[in-house]
Amino acid sequence: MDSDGNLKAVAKALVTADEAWTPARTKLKRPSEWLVSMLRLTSASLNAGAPWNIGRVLAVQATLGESLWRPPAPNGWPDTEAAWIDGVPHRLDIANEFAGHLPSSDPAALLESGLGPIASHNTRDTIARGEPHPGSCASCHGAGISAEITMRFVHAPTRREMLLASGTLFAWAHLPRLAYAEGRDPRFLTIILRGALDGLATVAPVGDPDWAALRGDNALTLEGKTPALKLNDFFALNPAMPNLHRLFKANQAIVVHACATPYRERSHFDGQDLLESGLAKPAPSDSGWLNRALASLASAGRVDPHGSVTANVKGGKAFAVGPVTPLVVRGPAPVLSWSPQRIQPASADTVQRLLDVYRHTDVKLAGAIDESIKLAAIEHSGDKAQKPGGPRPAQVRGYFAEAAGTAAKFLAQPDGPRVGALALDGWDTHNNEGIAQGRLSQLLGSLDGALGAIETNMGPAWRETVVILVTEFGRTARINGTDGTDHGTATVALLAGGALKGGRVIADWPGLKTANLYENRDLKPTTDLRAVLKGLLKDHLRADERVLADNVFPGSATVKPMAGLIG
Amino acid sequence: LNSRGKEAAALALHRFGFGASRDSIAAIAADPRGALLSDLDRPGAGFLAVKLPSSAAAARAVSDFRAEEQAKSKLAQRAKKEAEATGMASANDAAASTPTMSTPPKPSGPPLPQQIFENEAAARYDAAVGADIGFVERLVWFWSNHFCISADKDVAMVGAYEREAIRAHVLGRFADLLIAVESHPAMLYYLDNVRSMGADSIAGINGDKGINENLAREILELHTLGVRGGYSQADVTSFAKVLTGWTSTDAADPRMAASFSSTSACTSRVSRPCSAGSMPKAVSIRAVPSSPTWRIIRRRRNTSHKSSPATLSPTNRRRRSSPNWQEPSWTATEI
Repeated sequence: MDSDGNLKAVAKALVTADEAWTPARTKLKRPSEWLVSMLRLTSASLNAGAPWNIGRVLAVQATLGESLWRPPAPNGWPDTEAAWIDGVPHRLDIANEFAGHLPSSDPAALLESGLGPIASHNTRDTIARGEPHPGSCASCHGAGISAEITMRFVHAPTRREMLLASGTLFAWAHLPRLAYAEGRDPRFLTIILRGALDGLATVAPVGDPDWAALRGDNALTLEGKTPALKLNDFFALNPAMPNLHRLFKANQAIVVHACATPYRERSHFDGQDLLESGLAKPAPSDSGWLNRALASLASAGRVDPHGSVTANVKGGKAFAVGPVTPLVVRGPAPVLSWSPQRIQPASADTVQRLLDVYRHTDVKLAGAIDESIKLAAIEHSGDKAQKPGGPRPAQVRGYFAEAAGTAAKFLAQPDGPRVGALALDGWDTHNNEGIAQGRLSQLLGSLDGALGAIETNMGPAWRETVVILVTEFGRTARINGTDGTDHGTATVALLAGGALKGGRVIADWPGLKTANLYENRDLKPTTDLRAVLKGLLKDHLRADERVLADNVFPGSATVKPMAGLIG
Repeated sequence: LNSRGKEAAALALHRFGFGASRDSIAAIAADPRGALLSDLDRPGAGFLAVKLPSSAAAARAVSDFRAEEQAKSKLAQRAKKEAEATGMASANDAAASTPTMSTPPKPSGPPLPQQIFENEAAARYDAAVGADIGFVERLVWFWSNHFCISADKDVAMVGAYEREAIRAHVLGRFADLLIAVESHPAMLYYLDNVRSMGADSIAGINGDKGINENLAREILELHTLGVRGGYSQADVTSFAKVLTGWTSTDAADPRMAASFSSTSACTSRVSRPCSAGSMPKAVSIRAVPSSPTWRIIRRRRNTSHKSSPATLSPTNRRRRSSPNWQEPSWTATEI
């Protein structure tokens, strides 16, 4: 269409296209759009005194994982159903609370206003069957209507696929059978550091003769005001990480350096996709390596939130409540998720009524709702001190420790999940990186605090634990023009846990001379991150090597699992 | 009205708009397509009816606010230290006898930065909730997300940015939208271009600074061509060099804002490194008489790139809709 890039002409073309008027409704509204729809239908006031004033609306939007004007990365919020569907049960709770503030209204009339002829028969029937008490049942009707009306409509504009999460734990509630049969009960936690961690600023090659010249004032050394923490004769750890240093000295931590996924471009979003999909090249994927690895493990029984290991139910339903499900845990294996509950949950009655609606119209949604009941059980058994309340201030240190520490609490329980993943944002240090003092130093300090929280909260299970911290790629070897580093290639993978044969830095060190740098700018990758991950999956969880090569990391047969990581 | 009309109306409202309100299905059932088209043709479509501070004013206000907060906390610390030194009974007594800034009683409500943010958020929600259909508002939200910035990096300008850069062009030309977005101080700050400069430029040499390729990469990867869109690392680096000099005065620089007694003097001082007379061909495209304010400076200072491509230069863009190009596009929202 030649319109000289006229956006109004594009919008008009969208409206006039016949495809725009097909009745099929296949997409989920983003949380913010869903909120607006709910407010519009009920003519709700946003004024200061109203129950849903702007502060409340913003808090709810944040609770649903889409904090207004605060996307975690420059690619904005995802527009795909896969990214948001796991948060649907949370929407029900919110709709329920919202409905509680409505003046009693006729649910059938609301349905007619909101959907008119496009309301499904099941929705109509469910509404019609409701008891005529305006008080108690207005809530469930309101919630039901809001949910039905606002969940499943097509966005006119679509956006690129994009995947991210923020601190929500996603976990597998099974016991890996082979490991279990050996008398072990392994725990495995993957933490994805989004934004590309500067590996050279995390673990500095202080023994490399070219190191100091390469980074100048920004080079961590064993001398100076904030000396790095010595790991061995060649490598030293950022001084912000005393916990990791202590674990390393206790043979409970491993650093793998000059390590990278097979990705050799420098896009965060392709890089994160590849890190999480486990594929050898950027390509669309609807599942992640961790999920596929779990799907391949025989289960020794599902972990029951109510306290006992029940019969083998491999292939049970997926279940997640969280803002955005990260790709690494998406896929066929049943995965639970947990994020802090900050809204009074919908009543069981409401949930049941919605289940009735969606069992007929949308099995996927019904699945998500069905499992939300079990979520509540896990959460309450997990942390009784967890109180609902307003969103907390986004203080990174507390946030990292809360997210990671809570993950550990779940993994530590005898009836808790065994394998988990979460993602921590904020590592994209283009500007004023602050390696020894400043931003990166604080972030690493927060991460170190999170490791400490994991160790503490795992309790005795720590000795069967492996935590791996991975990032999409590294950063430029040299400092850029604004005291930061731009997107690079190789970086570190950090491993911690009592199950490790630790106290080692594993690196086939490429050197830092100009000729040794990758494309004359980045640390050259000499270890494939997939070898590390495969080594852990094989020796810790007892995943099958051939499955790892063919299915978990497709086409990785030549990348052998790294042996000897587990003690 | 027949059911088909109502069905199309419901689709129009949910698919293109922000959902139905009480009577909106019936209201547009006669001609749903026509209703969407007239939403686009509404006079003032895309703009907000409320008056809110410009990004310049908001940034200045937040900078002043933070400077004052810092000063207050410093005074309190000083008083505490003095109290400890003189062995007085309590720091509070010492504070009472120490000269303090006269501060008005604490206003109710959230602190100023949050207040600015909430006012912007309320205006955005009001527009979406109150719209007849909300098609144009959906487009605003779409482009705002496509060209997103984050309040985590700058809370003062994030709302104004949407009004000034996105709303002003949401129904205009993509090229104008792109330039408004990429040259907005909030974007230059968000993607780190404010301090990116040629290593061999005068400012680069004197400050031992150089380029930062963040904005250049994301323009190519996220805003225009798309990842794997046919560009190379060398293109990113070259583009970053082209973009050096796209910067803004830094109203939020704490070193400057800290001297709260003469904030305007500080702002002009901040702008000096960017607009120094020794800089060749410095062109200000934003000059508001009521300074202190933001200023975008375009200058060519990277010797390896003698000129910017015409499509990237605000001075060279076609001026179809704004004959007075000195009025930057992103202030047009202040209606």
